[in-house]
Amino acid sequence: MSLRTRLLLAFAVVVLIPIALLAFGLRQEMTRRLTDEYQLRVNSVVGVIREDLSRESAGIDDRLMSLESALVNDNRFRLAAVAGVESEREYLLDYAGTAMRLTGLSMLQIEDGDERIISSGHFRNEHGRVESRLTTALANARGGVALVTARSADREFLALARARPFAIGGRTFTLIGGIVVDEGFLARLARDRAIVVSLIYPGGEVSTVRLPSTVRLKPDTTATTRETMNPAAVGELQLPLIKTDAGAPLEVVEARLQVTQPLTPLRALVRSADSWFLFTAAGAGVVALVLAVWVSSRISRPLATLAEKTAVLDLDRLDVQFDAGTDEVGRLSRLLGDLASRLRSSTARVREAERRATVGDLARQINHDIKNGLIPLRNVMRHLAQVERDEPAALPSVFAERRQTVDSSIAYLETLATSYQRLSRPPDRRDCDLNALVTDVVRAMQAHEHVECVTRLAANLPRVVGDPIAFRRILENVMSNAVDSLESKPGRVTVSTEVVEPVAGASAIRVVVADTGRGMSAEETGKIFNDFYTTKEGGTGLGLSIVRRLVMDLQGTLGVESTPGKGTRITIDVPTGSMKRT
Amino acid sequence: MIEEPGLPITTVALGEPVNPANAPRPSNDSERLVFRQLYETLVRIDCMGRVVPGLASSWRRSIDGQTWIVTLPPGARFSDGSPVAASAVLALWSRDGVGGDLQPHVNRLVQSIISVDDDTLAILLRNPRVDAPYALAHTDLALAKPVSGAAWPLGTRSAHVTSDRASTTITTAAGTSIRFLAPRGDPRDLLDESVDLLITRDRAALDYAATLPPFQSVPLAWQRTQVLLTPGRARTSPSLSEEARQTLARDAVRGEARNAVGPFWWQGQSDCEIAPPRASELGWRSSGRVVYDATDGAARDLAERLVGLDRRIYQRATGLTGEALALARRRGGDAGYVMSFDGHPLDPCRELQVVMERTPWLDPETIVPLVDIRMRAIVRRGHSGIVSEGDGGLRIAGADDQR
Repeated sequence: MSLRTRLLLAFAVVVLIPIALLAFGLRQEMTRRLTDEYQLRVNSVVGVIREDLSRESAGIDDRLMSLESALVNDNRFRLAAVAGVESEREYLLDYAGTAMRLTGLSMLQIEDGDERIISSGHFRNEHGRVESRLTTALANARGGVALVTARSADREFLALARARPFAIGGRTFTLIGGIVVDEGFLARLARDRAIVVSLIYPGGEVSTVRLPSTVRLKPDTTATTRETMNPAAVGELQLPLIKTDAGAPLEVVEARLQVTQPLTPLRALVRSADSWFLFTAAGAGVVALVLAVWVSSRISRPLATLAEKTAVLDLDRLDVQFDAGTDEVGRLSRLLGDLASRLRSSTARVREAERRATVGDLARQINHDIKNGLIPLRNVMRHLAQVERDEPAALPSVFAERRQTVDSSIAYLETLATSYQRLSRPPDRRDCDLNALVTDVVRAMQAHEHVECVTRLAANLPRVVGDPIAFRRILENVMSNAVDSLESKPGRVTVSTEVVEPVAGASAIRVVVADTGRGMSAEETGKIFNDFYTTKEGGTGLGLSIVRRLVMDLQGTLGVESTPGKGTRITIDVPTGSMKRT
Repeated sequence: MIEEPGLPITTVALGEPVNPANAPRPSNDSERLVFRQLYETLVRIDCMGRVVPGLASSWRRSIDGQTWIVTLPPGARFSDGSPVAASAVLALWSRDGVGGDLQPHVNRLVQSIISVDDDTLAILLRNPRVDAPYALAHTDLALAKPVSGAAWPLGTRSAHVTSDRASTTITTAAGTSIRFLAPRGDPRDLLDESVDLLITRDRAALDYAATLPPFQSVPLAWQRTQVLLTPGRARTSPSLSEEARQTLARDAVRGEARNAVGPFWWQGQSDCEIAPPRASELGWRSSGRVVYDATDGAARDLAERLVGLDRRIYQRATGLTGEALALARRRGGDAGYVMSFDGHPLDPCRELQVVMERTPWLDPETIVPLVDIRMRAIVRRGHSGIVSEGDGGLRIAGADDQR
């Protein structure tokens, strides 16, 4: 994960989590407090409605009382209801209607002592029906507050009703009056349009809000359904409901006057708070993102630059300039610059010392080698000078006799010169067929009669990329050493090629040169690739050293296994490849 | 109706709105009253039930006894002065203008009509009575000549009519005029506005008129019969007893009513050509409503009483008007329909055909008569000239008397 990403995440955590926690906490607290407030309000409204219902009921009773006093003094009513005068019958039938309108009631009926309706205001032509036990049920209502189901000709309705018995001429009558309990009545009770008042009773519901028909079909579950769908503060008031269905006995059931304060304002408030928190979180997130990008850029860019410069830092590349700064990264950069500077100085000193040591070694070796070549020549020259001085006549024969030594020394010196020249020759690169090179080199080596040269070359050997002269020099040196290790004794030198799969990277071609010579000890084996190390008399010690450098130039590896008295096995692995591909 | 001579009636209060588009065939009592002053039929029925000349001066049976030969008087004219010739009658009664394709409302009463000469028509009635051409007095056959651009068609009485939202005024050629006041919320208000005539069933108005010395109340004929039409009712179902009908008339209906008195014209119409009742639809269920004409107070009272008496069958009373009422009645999906029938139609068969068209599921034998109702004329004392005709219509003396 990059520094920038980490910084971004850190900013997000630092900014957003506190905002989220604040939002959650505030939301919870706001909901709890407002819900409590609403519940208190609903409870208060329930109390007020209870008092209102009592007041309304008392008002109905007052109106019935006024009506009673009017009826007692109404002679036409007396004639019709008591004396049964036929001509006043229509007056009687219409009386309740007129009285109902005058008293502002929405339900009024007059029953005789047999509980038979003799005049009805809300349903004029219902006269004659017996409303059994309605008067008693109304009289028994708690606090005088009771609801009744009443009917007009075209509908059924609920009414808050009272009953008032009275007597005329020794006959008992009862006035039953009420006001309709409908949406308007409940709305007046609610006073506040935000509060929903519903009257829920077996078989129906009246509410200040219109509910979906699917909900209204199941009145008993309406409240629960509504509460589930829409959380609200709810309060209830139980009221007796007298059901007076025609053809069925009178039944008193419980109706629930439910006061509901929908938490819509709360939800709106919470939604508003949520919106603000979301906006805040989004704004903070954007600011955090910008800050994170800016800060990370301020931090990571110099670090990245430092990393790039450090990546190219090498003993051969110590000229990298590190910019100094005032901050921590600047100080680190300055330290790295100082380090590189010190490394440059140290490297220069080391290289100078190394160069001097190498030159010294080389000079000593050249001195030694030249001396080795010149000593025989000096001896021959001294011998020839002695012969010329002492026996001038024998000089030709002695020269002839010592000529080989001179030639040998000169050849040695030429070889030495060639070898030193080869140390600095630049490599060439081309596709090489190792099998062909092996064959050529082996053919040249077959001049030695005591050596049995054996080749085991893999068919279809892939080509390798490199300097063919380098390959030839590698093979010549290695095979020459192998032949030399036989020390003029009969023996065998085996050269094989094969394709091997290295552990990592591309495949390689392995060339193995094995001899049956004198072999080497482990100590000798560890030194054979050192410059100027030789076990041969007259050897320069540069052959295998050159081989090692050439193999390294070819990106190859070099291995040696040797057992004293049994022979040596040199393994050269060179990566396959083609100029066409590379 | 009021025999004593007196001042002419010049201001009449109406109980319902008058629509000139219905002329000359009235759809309510007020239109019946107004149209009667403007449009004539070929013959009239007097209060004794006798056929008397209307627009036609004479009539006789043809030799084969099937056709009525009606003669128009030479001076018969529309109110614009154009003559009322036999060809004019043919043009008004037929769609092709020559009597080949009769108008539907004419076709219910008349089988064919031929112009014998300019003044003579040969009319074959669908339900001929051998004694007199009663059907020719039906308002469906009143002559009214449409005039392009005019709200009111021309009648054959020498009067012209103007109307606005508040009133309709008929002015005779002699210059006398009768003003018909449009209905108000409370008919008693009209009595306070010096009207000469108010025809009503409103109990409050009648009671109020009784307290006003300038007015007298005169009962009109028992013209309407309230009936109950019940889908699915069997012929064998017991009908209402006379006592029950009396109770209904006394306890249920506000205003003047009596138990329906037979014989009823829809009974015994076996010779009348009517379509058989439409079979009830499978799965039919009553809506529980008792439907009535919301403009008919007596029908409302009766419907509500039915609900009050038996809520298991009649669950609620529902007042409808216009198309809604016609549609409900045609469908027959309710528990019952309280309707008002003409008590004494000039052509019972034709009337039954109309009833069956509007109530295709009805078996005439299952019609339950409930009560008869009638209206009263509240007339300002000292005024006269109201003529009650045999079909229940009222004619105000003056309009045609001027011709």
